[in-house]
Amino acid sequence: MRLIRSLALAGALSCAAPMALLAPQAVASSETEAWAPETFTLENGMEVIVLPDHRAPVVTHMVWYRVGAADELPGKSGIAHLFEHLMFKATDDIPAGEFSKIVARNGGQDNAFTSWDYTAYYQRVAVDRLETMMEMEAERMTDLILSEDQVLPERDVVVEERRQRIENNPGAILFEMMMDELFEGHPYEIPIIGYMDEVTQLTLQDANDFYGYWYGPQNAILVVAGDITAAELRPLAEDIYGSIEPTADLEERVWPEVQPLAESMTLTHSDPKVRQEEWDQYWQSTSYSVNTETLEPHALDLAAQILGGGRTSRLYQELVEEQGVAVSAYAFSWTDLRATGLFGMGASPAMGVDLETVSEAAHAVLADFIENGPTEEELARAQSSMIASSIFQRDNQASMAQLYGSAAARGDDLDRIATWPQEIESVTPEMVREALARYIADQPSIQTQLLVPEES
Amino acid sequence: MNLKPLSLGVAGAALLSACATSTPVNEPAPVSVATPPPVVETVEEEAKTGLSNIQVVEASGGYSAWLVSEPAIPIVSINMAWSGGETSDPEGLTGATGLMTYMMNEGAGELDSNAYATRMEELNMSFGCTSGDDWTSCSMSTLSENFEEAMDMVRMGLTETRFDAAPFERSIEETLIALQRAETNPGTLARRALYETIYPEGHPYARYATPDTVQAVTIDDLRTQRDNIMVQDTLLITAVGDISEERLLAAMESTFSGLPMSGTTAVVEDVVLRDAPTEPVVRDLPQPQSLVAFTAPGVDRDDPDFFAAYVANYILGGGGFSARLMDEIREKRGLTYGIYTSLSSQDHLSRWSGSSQTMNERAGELIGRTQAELYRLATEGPTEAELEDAKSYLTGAYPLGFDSNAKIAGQMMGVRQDDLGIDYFERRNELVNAVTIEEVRSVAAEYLMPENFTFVVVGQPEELDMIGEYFQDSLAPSAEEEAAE
Repeated sequence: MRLIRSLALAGALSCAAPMALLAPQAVASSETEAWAPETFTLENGMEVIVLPDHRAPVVTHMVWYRVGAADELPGKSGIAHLFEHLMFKATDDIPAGEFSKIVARNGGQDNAFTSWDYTAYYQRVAVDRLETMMEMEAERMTDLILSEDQVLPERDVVVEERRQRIENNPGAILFEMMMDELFEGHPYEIPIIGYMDEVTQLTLQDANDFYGYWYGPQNAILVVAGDITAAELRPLAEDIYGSIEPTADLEERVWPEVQPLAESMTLTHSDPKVRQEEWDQYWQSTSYSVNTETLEPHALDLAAQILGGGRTSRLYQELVEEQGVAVSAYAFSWTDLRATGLFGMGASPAMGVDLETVSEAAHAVLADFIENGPTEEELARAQSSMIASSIFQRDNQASMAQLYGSAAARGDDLDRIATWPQEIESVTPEMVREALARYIADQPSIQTQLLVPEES
Repeated sequence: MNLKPLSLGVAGAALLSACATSTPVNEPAPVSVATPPPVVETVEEEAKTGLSNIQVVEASGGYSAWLVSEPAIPIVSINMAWSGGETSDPEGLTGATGLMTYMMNEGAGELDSNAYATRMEELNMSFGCTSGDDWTSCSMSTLSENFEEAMDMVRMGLTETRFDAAPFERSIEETLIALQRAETNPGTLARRALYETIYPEGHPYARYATPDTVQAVTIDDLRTQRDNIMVQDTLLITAVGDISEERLLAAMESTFSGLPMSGTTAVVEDVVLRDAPTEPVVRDLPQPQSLVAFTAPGVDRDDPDFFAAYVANYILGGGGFSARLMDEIREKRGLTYGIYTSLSSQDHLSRWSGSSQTMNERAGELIGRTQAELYRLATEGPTEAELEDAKSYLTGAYPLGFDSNAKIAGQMMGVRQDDLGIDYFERRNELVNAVTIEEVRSVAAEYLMPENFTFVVVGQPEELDMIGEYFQDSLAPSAEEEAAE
């Protein structure tokens, strides 16, 4: 490898594997007999999910909270994420700066992550250290003690994180602009990390208010994946987490309705760092959480796979292989959100080709797909790929923990994870065509153009 | 899934991690410590890595596979590696080996690119190859029921490669565009600055592809690279999953027996890095935050000091929140989202490197304070507590790298490439635990003095004239320390 390893790391600081989270997947039907999650609920309302995997004497221990960036009060953008950072500070029994060090002394790795829909904390550790991790996680659920001299430097850290992820990255700036329009009036319009001018104003009081309101066992989910059974975990969970008093009753998590996009628009962003232009197009779609009665989310996921899910996809074959107008072309379906999801496609032009040419070519491919739907053969291949990927996903206990934890945090029916492969299998070409007709054809959308600045 | 395009946007925006702790290299088994709530006793026994069950499967061609049979999930992962990589790019054709690997799944036998990709999907398999300076590698995964057919696709890819003009031209265009993007990629700019500053001129490690070298490559060059690199006598294989020794051996014989027995790769000189410049090397890039990267000569993988250095690195900057740099630069001062150091070993060069990012206005401060921590560890060594904490983590977390088939296949390949021996997994934690505080002190003193490091800054950094002052400020005793004296 020519890459300096540490530089490679610096570019990929998001510790969780976000990709793995983006579509509910599950074990194939033949596997469900041999392998099944177990769930139970503690008396204080905390849900527990156990995902056995006995290949190595290791567990992934996670606690998820049903609160995320979409629950922030006006003017307080970024508090969910800043607070997540602050959970690594002091409790009445754990001195400041010690939490992760104690995990490390136990041979564990820890981290946490925040999305619009949820916040989660985890440790990966040898199974004989699980109890210690549980006690520490239970400790900071209720006994965190914050002070100014912890909050202020950590706020600076988050500001640097924002510079690193967003300000330094023209594509991320454009994505932020797009979300602001696609979800106008809904909290998904606000960046998870927060607006710079709001993050810099967050206070100790904001953090304590957020903690006091949202953090408690009745709003939390315990997920343990790895070398453990429900029978082994239950007494530990009851003893360590079950003994925590619930905090005040939370009101139901109600977000404003997602407003349909009034009209189509094009957003552009140019930056001297851009060397290769990019075009993308986004539609509001639906999600597994919102749309529990139909197979539309499944149909849209399959549509994205067929339209732009790799080298055999229609967009790649037409734009890259046939016409040679693009060097990459793809589609995506983001259906694992608690509120409305999104669907999109995009391409990066070949040398000397402009974005209009590329987008016109993509629109022609899409128009044909909308009109005629997928062939039986295409659909079968996409179904097989997606079902197989749910089997491959079982190779990674952490990714299984994320799959189940995120679904529980969104309030999804966990049984649907196991039946997902059969549901995917039962999607017909007609259902794909209908989903495209409903969500994509003639629906308003946002196109984005990432541009090289015009020479002055 | 299908989120390729969003990797910058959505992935970056949708999920933020608190810690930036992309944990150090993939090394870590359970041990001691007092935690606040409960007190856990020291576990003396060696942590199980689950790798006492490696089977060595030898093919008639002389190459072999290390196999761990794991029936729990009906999948198989195979890794292949050949010594010989981009250092064997012919003069003026830098990029040739990389372009060759691109073609390995772009059509073979009767199947053109699209037909080959379609067949891979039908078999639920993934297969692809990559190259680095010293090695060329491929990996394949599939459902175990499709294993034989998938391995036949690998056979075709490696031995009946079509090298069609269309995917070849596409690979050239993709590479040219990637080179354009690299012009504003801070990591790439920092790397190239290091090549120009401290690498011996013309050494293959310091070469990189340019539009000229890429466009000079022909399809014949790709065949030559393939036939010289992907040969039987340097082939290493690791396999993990729902597969028996018999099935694997049969597939190895039919997949790889068509490869040439041997080939010719470049003879590469060991690198001696030039002395580090006294001032940071700056590369201008219009962005609000600077990347600071630093590199010095490191410790070879087979050096008796390697594990002492490995422990020292954990204490300095490899240990996430347990590391001194993270504590000083992020936790105390909020200067950055993350700062990390690592040891890297190539066949002909070992380096000790680190990197961080901070707002342009504070780049000088970050460098000065980082240099102070290098100096402090080099001159004072670690504390006993730091040494014990490092060993607890490094041994305790080792099994975390073995909890999936894909990870086990990767770990075994790393051990094979570094030629550490099949018993390495059993010995490794003993080697960590045997490190003494004197050994860490000595290795830190030899390698970590700040003047050994070349600092590169990419961005529009300020206050670089203040580095010395921040260095002194960090080393000055604090008010409490003075009061204590």
